[in-house]
Amino acid sequence: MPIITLFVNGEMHQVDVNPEVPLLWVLRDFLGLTGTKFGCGQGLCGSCTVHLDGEAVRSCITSVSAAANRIITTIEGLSVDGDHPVQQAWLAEKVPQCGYCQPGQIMTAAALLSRNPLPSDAEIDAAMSGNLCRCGTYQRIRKAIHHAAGDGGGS
Amino acid sequence: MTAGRELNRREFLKAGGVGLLVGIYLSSCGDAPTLSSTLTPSPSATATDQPTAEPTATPRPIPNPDAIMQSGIFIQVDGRGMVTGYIPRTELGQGSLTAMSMIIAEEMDIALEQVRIQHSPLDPAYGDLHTGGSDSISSYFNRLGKAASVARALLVTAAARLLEVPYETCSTTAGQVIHEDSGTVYTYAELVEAAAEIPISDVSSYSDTKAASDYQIIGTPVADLDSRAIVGGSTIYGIDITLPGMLYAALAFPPILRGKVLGFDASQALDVPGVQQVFEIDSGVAVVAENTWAALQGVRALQVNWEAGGNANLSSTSIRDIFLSNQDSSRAQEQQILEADYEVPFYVHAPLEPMNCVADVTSTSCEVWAPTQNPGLALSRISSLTGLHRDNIQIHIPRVGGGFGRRLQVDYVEQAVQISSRAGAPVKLMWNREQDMQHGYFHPLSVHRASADLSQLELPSISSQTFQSWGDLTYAWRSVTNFTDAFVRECFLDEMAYALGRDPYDLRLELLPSSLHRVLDTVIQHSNWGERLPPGRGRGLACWSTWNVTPVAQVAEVSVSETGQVRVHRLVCAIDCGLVVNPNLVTAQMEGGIAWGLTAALKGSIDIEKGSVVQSTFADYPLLQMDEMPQVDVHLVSSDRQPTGVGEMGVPPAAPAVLNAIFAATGKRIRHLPVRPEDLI
Repeated sequence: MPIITLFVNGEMHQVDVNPEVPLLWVLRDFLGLTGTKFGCGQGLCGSCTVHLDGEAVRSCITSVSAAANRIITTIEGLSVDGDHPVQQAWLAEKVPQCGYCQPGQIMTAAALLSRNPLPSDAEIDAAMSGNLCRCGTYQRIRKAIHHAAGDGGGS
Repeated sequence: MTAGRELNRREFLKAGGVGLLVGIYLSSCGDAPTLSSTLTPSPSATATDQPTAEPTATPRPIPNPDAIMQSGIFIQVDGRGMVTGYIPRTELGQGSLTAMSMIIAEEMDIALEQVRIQHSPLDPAYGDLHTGGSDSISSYFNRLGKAASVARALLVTAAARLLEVPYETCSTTAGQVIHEDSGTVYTYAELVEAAAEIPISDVSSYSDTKAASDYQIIGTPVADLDSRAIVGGSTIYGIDITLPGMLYAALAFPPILRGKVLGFDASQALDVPGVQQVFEIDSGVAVVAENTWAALQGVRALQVNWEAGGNANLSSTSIRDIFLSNQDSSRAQEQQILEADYEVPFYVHAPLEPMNCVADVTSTSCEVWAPTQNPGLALSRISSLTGLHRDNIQIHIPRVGGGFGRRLQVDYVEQAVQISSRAGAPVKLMWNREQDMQHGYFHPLSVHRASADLSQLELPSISSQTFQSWGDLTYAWRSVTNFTDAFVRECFLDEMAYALGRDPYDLRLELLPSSLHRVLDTVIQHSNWGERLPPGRGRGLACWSTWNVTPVAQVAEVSVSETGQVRVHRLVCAIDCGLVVNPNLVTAQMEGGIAWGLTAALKGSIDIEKGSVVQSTFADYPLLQMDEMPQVDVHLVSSDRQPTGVGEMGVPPAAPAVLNAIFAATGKRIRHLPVRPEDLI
């Protein structure tokens, strides 16, 4: 198998792995970055969301070869001390319940805000509706995104 | 209150009894932060905050970091002043462990950061060894509060004896005992070693718990104490556990529910790079590999012959048809008799963290890391499976990515134990989403007939037929029977109100017990009840007291589009859960319970055909999404009652409130779940 070069959270990794393996399992099982979660394996729940060159992607349906030589950011690398504005907003709005989906929610929200710093409720809905939360924290997620955008609560 | 019995446990612990028990510790679930890792010394316990009185002649005790002080079986204070509560409860996102930390911090006068909760040994002395029925706070509020106040009294007594002053002249604040007359301040850490020598009987007259009016921590809106770790991605769930030499396992399940293996061909699975072993266990064929992906691919490549077992002819449609044909002949022809039939489908829990378990079984021991709500059951099943004595079995319980009743069953724990035992290595068993959807323990399908004699103005009589397979194919699903019973009664009360020309709120006040009246009044006040809405929009009311302990009322405001799409715009909720330990967590549980109820009302259901579950993903068993979440306004009705439960209590009124609102909006009565657009065109 060819060696695949990955740039994850500012570090270079060379992994000897089948190029078809989803990025999710390389992050989790090979690199020990378990903040990125397995939820469905089909891109339907968003728990596995990471950034690839700054865009939110579902790592469970992204092959490791498609991520080779690109910039990968996981929840562990979103900020140095867990103080990204989205993470701070999540704490301020007391979002997490079980917390399992929240790394994926945060990564999707961070990507949304980086391309649209002041999203409307409709834009938040459009960006976030692929990230499922069985605990039902959606109302607080919406508030937290407005909080991170600094818009005082949105529409 | 059974404090006396609990206090005697101290002797039990001193005798080394705890060492004989199975210890399970949150903090041993990995290096990442858990409740126990966010601890920092109380800022207020630093020297700068101490009163600047004259130095005392009394020698300062030297803190012994190895000292341990027990208060009953529930609380331990160490020589660093850190307090650990031992409780047999799992954190599933309901926030119970945070609320328990608050109770201890309150009664001990310490900072929340100085408290951590660990899972207790699996000894019935600690109470029920499972997390269910929304009873964590109601079961432990008094016991923990009492143990904490005893701990505080022991520390104060130690200080009073050192200073040779009366107990009453000492007070506590911020993890310190203060004797104002002499200006002496001792930290708890300094007193632990001396306090550990004091018999609990010596403090029995000083250990009353606080009056509610003196609370400083209880009643404040604290976030879950793991929040910082969660948003940083460092919380370790069961799925994240890694052990040295660990292998990864996946399992092929029978396509027909609870079927059996007849035989299998492992050759193609063994050809998958990374697959090491393939073998049969009780519930399927296991593939053991070097990583999760290889194990999952190995399962796909397996060829298995299955024995159908007893469920080959099982189908939702036929169960429903039989139930409907069993319905008593209608009384509706009788004058004044109102009658309606209601239907509830199978549902599945679908937590975002699929079933998984790590097990390390040897000939002499078994250690598992199990995301479980039921470690007591897991312990007895593991003991049966392995033949190991309970003393040689250790169960670690990480934070769990959603339980909702699913993890009261321990099937996946048993599977991991069997696989590790056979593989001769530690393994992590990982179910995929399809297996999680299809091989769970479902909320049971049921059919109901409600009827009432309108001339008598009586509560409806309801006869129910429920698919019976409890503990085999069906089991507890968030709020269990309350979901179904509330749906039927509350929808039918709405039908009665309209038939009688009565306001649904007034009729409930007349028919339902007074314990529900305050929550009903509250949602009516806050929901613009009675005000006109544009055509196609309506409000619906429902209420329920789950497990007869927590009254909740909800008003839903919905609109229905021309294509039959239901949109819930707003949901007003009132809850009376007695004394509120943490209003943030209660509100969060209402929001989450409502999302659960709306999902059941408007989204996915499970169909069984020829013994197999039809749905398999979030595409065909959809959950409520961000764009479908209404504005939820939660009102906590203050109450002097002891704390009751909240975890399930937001669920039951949501679906009937929505269906009643749909009727108000459209004039259409929907009597089955979930509501589909085609029902409303």
